[in-house]
Order: sequence, then structure tokens, then C-alpha cells
Amino acid sequence: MAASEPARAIVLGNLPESIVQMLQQISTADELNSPDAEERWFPEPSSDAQLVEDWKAYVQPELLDAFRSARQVVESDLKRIREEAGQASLEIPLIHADAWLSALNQIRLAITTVYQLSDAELSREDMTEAQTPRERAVLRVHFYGYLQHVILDALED
Amino acid sequence: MATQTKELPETQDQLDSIWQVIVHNDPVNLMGYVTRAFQQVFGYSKEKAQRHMMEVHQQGRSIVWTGEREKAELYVQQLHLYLLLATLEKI
Repeated sequence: MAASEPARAIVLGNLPESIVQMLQQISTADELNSPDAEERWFPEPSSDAQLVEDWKAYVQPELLDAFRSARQVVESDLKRIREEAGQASLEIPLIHADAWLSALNQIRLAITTVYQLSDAELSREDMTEAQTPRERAVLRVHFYGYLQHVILDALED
Repeated sequence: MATQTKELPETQDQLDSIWQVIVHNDPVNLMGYVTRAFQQVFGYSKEKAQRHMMEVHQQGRSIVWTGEREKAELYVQQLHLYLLLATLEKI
């Protein structure tokens, strides 16, 4: 996979099928529907019971809407993956960068929470032979983190 | 040397209403992502945002803002939008 960054968009080219699948999962992965993931997405803001109650009633629905709309932006970009001569490519408009960063963080946190991945597992570097579902989960967290790096670097330019 | 003026609380009531916004460490969030969140939410310079990010990373938490409750709640909401582990506490 090669990444190039024109002025207004990030272009990911030469995407193999396995990478395209991981990209599609940003907005469709089962982990996104896990109650454990939602618990991580909505940490309690305080030890004050009344504040927490109000937060759940008024703030969490707004956050949930924002998270969903970020994933919808990503989903719409992913629908535009182009295939030419057997090579897939994806263009991420920089105007969508924050939506992508959010959606990628949502899925990274969801996977980490659902699989209860340890710091040691998350620090593992050699993931070329991910065989088990757990190893594939670590690989996905790393891949989505790499994409976040690419987007953050593009925003710096 | 430039001087900085800080407004200090004048009454006990004002002191009672001072809150801190605290961000707690999470091994999943990337350093660059946390730095960007601090810049976007608080308008901090990159250097200041990085200092707070490193404090979170090395010490487990950082007090990123201090002030009145209403604003503290708004900041925590915005930090939660970035999926950071943020809380507010009364001083």
C-alpha cells in the first residue's frame, strides 16, 4: 500500500483486498455494537451522581449522534473506493479528516475493550503473522493507528 | 521579561465554584491525536498541548484546565467527543 498526500486529500493506493476489508470494517465491525465498547466511549465525567445522571440523559445522546455521523462520513468515503486494473485506491478528503480520526478512534477503542487487549499486546510490533482472532484484533488496532498517523501528518502539512 | 496577570478568586463563593478538567491516560489514544485534541478544544499552542499530553502519558493524568463549572462541563464534553478519558473535579 502506498500513501500519497495531495493538497486537499489523502490518497491510499495499491490497496490489497485484506486492507480494503479492514477499511470497510471501520464502520461495520461487530465490535462497534458491543455494550463494552459503548461503556468505553462514554466514560463517567465525575464522581457526582447527579452530574453523571444528567450527563447520561443530555450529553451522551449528543455524543452518540456525533460518533454515528463521523462513521457515516467514513462510510460514504469508503463507498468511493475505486478499482482500476485490479488495484483499489481510496481518497480521503482532508475536510473529512476529523470524522476519520473519530471513527478510527471509535473502532480502536471498541476492539481493545472487547478483546481486553493488554498494553503488552498493543506494544507488539511484529504482527505479520496474525493467525488467531486476538492477533488479528491487535493487527487491526495497529493498522487503524497507522491510518490515524497518516491523517495527522497530512493535517500538519 | 513579559508579565502575566491572573485574576484570583475574590470570595469564598468564587473559590467554591472552581473546577478542574482532568484527562486520564489511555494506552490506545495516540500521542499526536491527544495533542491535536488539546489544541482544538482549548486552543493551546502545540508546545503546551504536547506538555499536557506528555503529563498524561507519563504521570497518568493532567489537569488541563481550571475555572468555572459550566465551562469545565463543556470542555469535558468536547474531550469526550475526542473519546478521551476526561473528568471534572471541584477543587
